[in-house]
Amino acid sequence: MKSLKTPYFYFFRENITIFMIFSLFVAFSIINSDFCKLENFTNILAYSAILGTVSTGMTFVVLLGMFDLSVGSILCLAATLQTLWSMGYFILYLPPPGSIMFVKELNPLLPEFLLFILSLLVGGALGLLNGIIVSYFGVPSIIVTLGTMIFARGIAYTISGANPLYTVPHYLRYIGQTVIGGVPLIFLIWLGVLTIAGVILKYTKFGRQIYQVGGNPEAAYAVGVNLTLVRTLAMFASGVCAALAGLLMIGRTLVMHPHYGIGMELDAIAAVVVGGISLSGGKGGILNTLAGVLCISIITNLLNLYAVEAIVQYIVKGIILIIFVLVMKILGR
Amino acid sequence: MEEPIVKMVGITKEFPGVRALNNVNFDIRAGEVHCLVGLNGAGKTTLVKILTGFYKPTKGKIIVYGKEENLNPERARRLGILRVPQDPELVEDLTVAENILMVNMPGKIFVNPRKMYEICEKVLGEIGFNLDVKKLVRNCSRAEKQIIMLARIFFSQPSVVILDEATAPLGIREQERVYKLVEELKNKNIGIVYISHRLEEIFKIGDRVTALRNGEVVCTKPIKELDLNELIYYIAGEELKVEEVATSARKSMKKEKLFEIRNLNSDPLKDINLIVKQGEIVGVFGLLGAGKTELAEAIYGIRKIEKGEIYLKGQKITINSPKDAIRFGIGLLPEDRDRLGLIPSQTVAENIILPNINAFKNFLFLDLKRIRSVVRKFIKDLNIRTPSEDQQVRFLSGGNKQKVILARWLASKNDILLFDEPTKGVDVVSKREIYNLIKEAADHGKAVIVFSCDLDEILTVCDRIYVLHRGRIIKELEREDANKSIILEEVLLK
Amino acid sequence: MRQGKAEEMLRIVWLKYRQLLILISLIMISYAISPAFVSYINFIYLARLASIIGIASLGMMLAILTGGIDLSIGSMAALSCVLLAYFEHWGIYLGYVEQLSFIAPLPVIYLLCLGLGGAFGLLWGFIIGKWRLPDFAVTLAALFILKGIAYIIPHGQTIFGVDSVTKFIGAGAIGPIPFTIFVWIMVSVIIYVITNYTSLGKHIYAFGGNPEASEACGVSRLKVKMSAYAISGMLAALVGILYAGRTDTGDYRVGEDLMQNSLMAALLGGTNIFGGEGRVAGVIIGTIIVAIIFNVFDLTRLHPFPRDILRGIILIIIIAALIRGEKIKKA
Repeated sequence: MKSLKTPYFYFFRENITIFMIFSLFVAFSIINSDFCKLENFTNILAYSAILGTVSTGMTFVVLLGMFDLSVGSILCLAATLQTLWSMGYFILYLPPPGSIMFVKELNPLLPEFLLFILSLLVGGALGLLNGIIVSYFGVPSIIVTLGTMIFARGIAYTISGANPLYTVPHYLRYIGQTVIGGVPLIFLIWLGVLTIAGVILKYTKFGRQIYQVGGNPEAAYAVGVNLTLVRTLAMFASGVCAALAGLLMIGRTLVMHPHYGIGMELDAIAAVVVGGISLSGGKGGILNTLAGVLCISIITNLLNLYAVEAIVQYIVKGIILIIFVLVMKILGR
Repeated sequence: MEEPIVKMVGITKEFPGVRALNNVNFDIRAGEVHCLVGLNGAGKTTLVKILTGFYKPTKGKIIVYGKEENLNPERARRLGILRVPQDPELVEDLTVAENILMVNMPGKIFVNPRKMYEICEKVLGEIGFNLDVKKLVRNCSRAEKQIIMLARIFFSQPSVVILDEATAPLGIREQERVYKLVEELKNKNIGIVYISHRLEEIFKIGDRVTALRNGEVVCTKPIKELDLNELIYYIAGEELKVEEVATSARKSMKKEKLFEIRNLNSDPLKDINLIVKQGEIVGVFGLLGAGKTELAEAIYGIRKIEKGEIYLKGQKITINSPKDAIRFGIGLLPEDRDRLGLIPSQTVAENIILPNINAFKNFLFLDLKRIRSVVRKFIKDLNIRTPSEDQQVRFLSGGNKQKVILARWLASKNDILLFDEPTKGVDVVSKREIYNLIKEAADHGKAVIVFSCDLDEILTVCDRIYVLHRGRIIKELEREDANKSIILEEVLLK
Repeated sequence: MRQGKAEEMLRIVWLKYRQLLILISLIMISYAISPAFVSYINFIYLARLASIIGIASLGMMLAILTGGIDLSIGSMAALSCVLLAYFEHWGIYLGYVEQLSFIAPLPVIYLLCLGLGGAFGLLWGFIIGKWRLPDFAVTLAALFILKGIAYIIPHGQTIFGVDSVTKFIGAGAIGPIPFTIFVWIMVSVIIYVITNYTSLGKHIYAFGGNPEASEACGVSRLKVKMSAYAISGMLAALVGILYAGRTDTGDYRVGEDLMQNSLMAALLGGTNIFGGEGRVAGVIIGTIIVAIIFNVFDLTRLHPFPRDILRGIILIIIIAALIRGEKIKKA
């Protein structure tokens, strides 16, 4: 293996995902005429925005060597709450689906701005819960977030009766529907979130501590870094990002479907792994997330174009996940 | 004379079955280099751990700046007690600058990477070390990693700096730099605790020296009042009388070559040649870091052998994994018993039968009756103190854990036993028992290698002694020709 | 001093008998909540529920014992359920068809389903054991992959109608006792024998308890992982067959909660999430506890959605409480 480590090897390794994106792009632009339509690119970017926002929060968590399975459910819960609050309900307990088409007039409980913050805080609160149980009780993050995943979705279903909800506040409609020259506004928002995350990771004490704790927790502890605080805050960030993603999603689709967010965990972990962030922590950055998300988005888009159902897409994504974890491991991540 | 910065009074530290420190008094004065010497296991590490708050003393008190303190790591750090350890604790994937500044990041919320590099370069330049601050620690040499640990001192506000074998991985030029740094620290009125096995260093930069032996302070004196031989005497203690180590049974045994290693090279070991004859107890003495555990692991197949051969009863054998070693009859009793040796959640019986479990089968299934009777016999013969063979091994004391591992290899009828620090953390009574068991094993014709940094142990148990220093065998002695001074001179003065 | 001793004793009693204590208190609480709990019909229902979870949780226990986890149990059960019906409707699988068309004799079909469960398990175990990829990542991927396959095979439709033998196994009874209980008992005995009377069992415990030390004693990581996940896969496939019998369909949507429930059962049963510790008897009690909790949900006609809330919260609380105890033991 030593002889393989020429300069080309390193260049390839660091940029493998970019190569993949590029090749997929070029290949399918030629093969499939639907692929190169502007509308399609807009779809890809829109999907990237939502998956990307979730993955951005997930980046903090994975860099610490942890994992957050609850992001899909937090997305769903935040979006559900937002729509309910916009209808004027605080909590609802509706009859099961199939009864009535639910379109209510906008009647927000509070100014829209506050509702926005509140939804994000709900996500953050769940993230905090995850973080505290992981760092204080020492429960593996997979198990805790599995529990949160179940119960957050349970709350979402309960308060909405699992009905699709069509009431989306104006500001979200605006954000979600605006497209500038083929680029959806939500994509730009995601880029903004990504930039903020990048700044945090590179230029703040907290961000640097994430790399320290993720890279060698004992060394970090030995110099006085507060492991509990770092881990909890990362989970908090993941929750907030998932909530934000939920809001962007209903803005884009103009409806809140109860099954939103299912399978998001797979996409998010695939995006993170494909992008090159190490599952054991301490290696990688937001550029990796960017690359990984774009990659998964393109793949999802292609699968959609070829009319592959969501459940079947699982097979492809699952296999990709395993392959890429292996590939990254061989490449030394 | 002004009050010392830190005064440790009457410190005693006990672990289950072992007393690591006994009524130790140690103080650190401002602007002074107080050296701490003693063989491995004498209690230096324990004392330092108490000083930095990681252990709490069983008895005694610690007085810092005149106030009695109940230390924990956080408090000790805040009081300015800083330790530079032997093994670097760094984050491999971050840069040199980041690792140095981890101790005290500039800025409350925001950090400026460029500024970090600048500050680091500046300070490193001032203290005379040239390091590329942007390099990833992963790509740094051992010496460079040690420099990073040392550089951290200059980004904290220490009152006491503990240098624990700080110069061991460094080259000569860097060592000189460190001595100069120590001078600068002295000028800043910082108290320095200097731990080292290199006696020449002690005499070069030390003001006072305290020697520990078996957990007790043997002497605390100004350097000027001591000479080399005296110091060695304090460290080593009385010479042991050559006991009747070899029983008549073993003496009359035909001393054929059972096990031989030729030209073994495996980082950090170089050109190791070693012979063990049947019924012989061979000792490998070396200080911590000399490569003893690495040698044991290489023989056992845990570590890769880059060059060299191993011969068993004259036949060349290749060992690529522990499975091979076990097949050839080699058994390892590792130094880190809990990590490499035992399965804590399993019982005494399960741990004993593990490597050779297929021998206890009746067709497809385990013969529990046979297992029980065999295990019980070993518990009796080795005097393993446990309520029953079904007791989980994690509840046993250190000495009994060791006996369980020994029983494991005896049960598997392994003929070559590698003991790595056999009585580390073992109580006095069990120590004696284990030595007798080792001798008994040799009496039964097994080849035994004892790796140890405990001089008394080596001289009590072994027939022939190899001295390992920095990865090489530098001396081979028969027991009759060996005494403490000869051996220690080899390792302390190089 | 005296207070300390009483505390010590309470603690010892708790650590040793906590599962039984939880079980007994749970039974009492359930009766208080709903007297129907102690009815004959309810016991039958409870028994069926418990056997399904019980079989799966024994598989989960094995995976956890090696220091891993099997997230794909539910999907494997779904796949097996679909395959069974598919093999029995070979060529004509849409709509309810009176005439079944077997691809092979029934025992062979069973073998195919179980074998596939084992084969996939071997695959995951290989990836985890040889290439050392993280357990949760591989089985998470597996969860989705198998779910997708289960959907594709019948083209997203539900296949109606299975043979009468399977129906008996899944839904029938011998006298008052549901047949699934016998299956559960048999599986429990087999797993009990494996864990206590075979070298494989000891190797699994050893590896889970301390991977490095066990490898230093010649235990093969690959063998341990492959065996554990293969058995887990087979047991999940078995549950799939039971599902098929009970619902009389090949439905890709079954097994949604199976993974979480079996995980809870295994952990409640005293299996250490970090590996190396766990007893069949404990997992059986854990299964009964989980089954009772869900039974109570049914009895109180709790809406499916609030159920999820409670399930999630219970999982978290239980794990947090148990792990605290384990961590102390570990230290």
